[in-house]
Amino acid sequence: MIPSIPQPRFYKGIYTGYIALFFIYLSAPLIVVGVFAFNDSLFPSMPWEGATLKWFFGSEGPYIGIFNDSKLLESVGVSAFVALCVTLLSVTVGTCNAFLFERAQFPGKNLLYVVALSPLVIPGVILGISILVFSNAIANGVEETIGWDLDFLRPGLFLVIIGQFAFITTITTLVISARLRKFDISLEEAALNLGATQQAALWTITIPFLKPALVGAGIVAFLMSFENFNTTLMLVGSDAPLTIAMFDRLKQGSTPVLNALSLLLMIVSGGLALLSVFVQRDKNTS
Amino acid sequence: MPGIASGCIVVFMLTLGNYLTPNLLGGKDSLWFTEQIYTQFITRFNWESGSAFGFLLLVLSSLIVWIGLKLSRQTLSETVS
Repeated sequence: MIPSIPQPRFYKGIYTGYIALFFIYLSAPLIVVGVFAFNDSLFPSMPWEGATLKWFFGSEGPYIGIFNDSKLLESVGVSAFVALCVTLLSVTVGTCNAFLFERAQFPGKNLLYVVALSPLVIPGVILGISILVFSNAIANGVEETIGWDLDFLRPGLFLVIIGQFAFITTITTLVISARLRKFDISLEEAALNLGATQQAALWTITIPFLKPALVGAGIVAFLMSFENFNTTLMLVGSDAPLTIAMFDRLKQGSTPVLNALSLLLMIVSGGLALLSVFVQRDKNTS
Repeated sequence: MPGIASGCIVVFMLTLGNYLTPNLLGGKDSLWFTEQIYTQFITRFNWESGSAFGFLLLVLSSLIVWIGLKLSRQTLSETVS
């Protein structure tokens, strides 16, 4: 559809209606969840019993608010820790990957590129169980031959971080190499020509150019790690990240605490997404 | 066309490998492949058959993606970059 060409009013109406329906379909469940976070009832459903903030701040009786629910808060902390580790790791490795695939020429590069992209076409559950089986086999083998108990290879936070890192790196690699492809290499050559060392040229020319992509990739990595469920489910140990904790809570029967938590999450992740939009916008103008 | 192909691949993989949505919304009588894998692995500790299921899912999904790429005359590295 080309906006500058006049369209019959009928088609325009249908198009607008379609877009409106699509956005209603996307946002209606979220709005319902958000609204019922304020419901003064033990169940996150109709009937409406009046507005309350107990599910955020309440501390006694059945009304344990989210800010007093130590287990959920702890799982938020665990998730944030995992997401931070995954972000740092995957942005670093993704940058290296981007340089490797954009700059270097070596035999077998195409094959290696396909291998690097393959996590995109592997279901998350499969990734989870294969890492679980692999690390468990290593741990068992080491224990049987030398007698060391490598505890970090058992299901736990380390494996969760490794598992999420495995596929989020692919995403960050794609984001960063798309930016690196637009980089004019003669800028770097000019810096080298003017007597900069390789290191100095990298840190003063290339990395500042890549910065919007680095920040954007970091935000995407953080959000993807935070909301990841499939891979985490297979690798989780005793410290449950947020998604697992919420899932367990939901199986026992949900209270509006989960709604309140979801509302807060929506606000935070929406804010992060807006931030990444602003970072990307800088990229276009500069 | 590469955009459409990569969109299809991403949606297909996200749907096929999803555990949470079918589990929560699928009701009691439904039987899902990912749920089956999870049950074999975590609940029953039957890692052999879980691995077999997982391998089956992996092969099937790779095959379908490969056929899709062949039919639309794309390659994986072209599609995503």
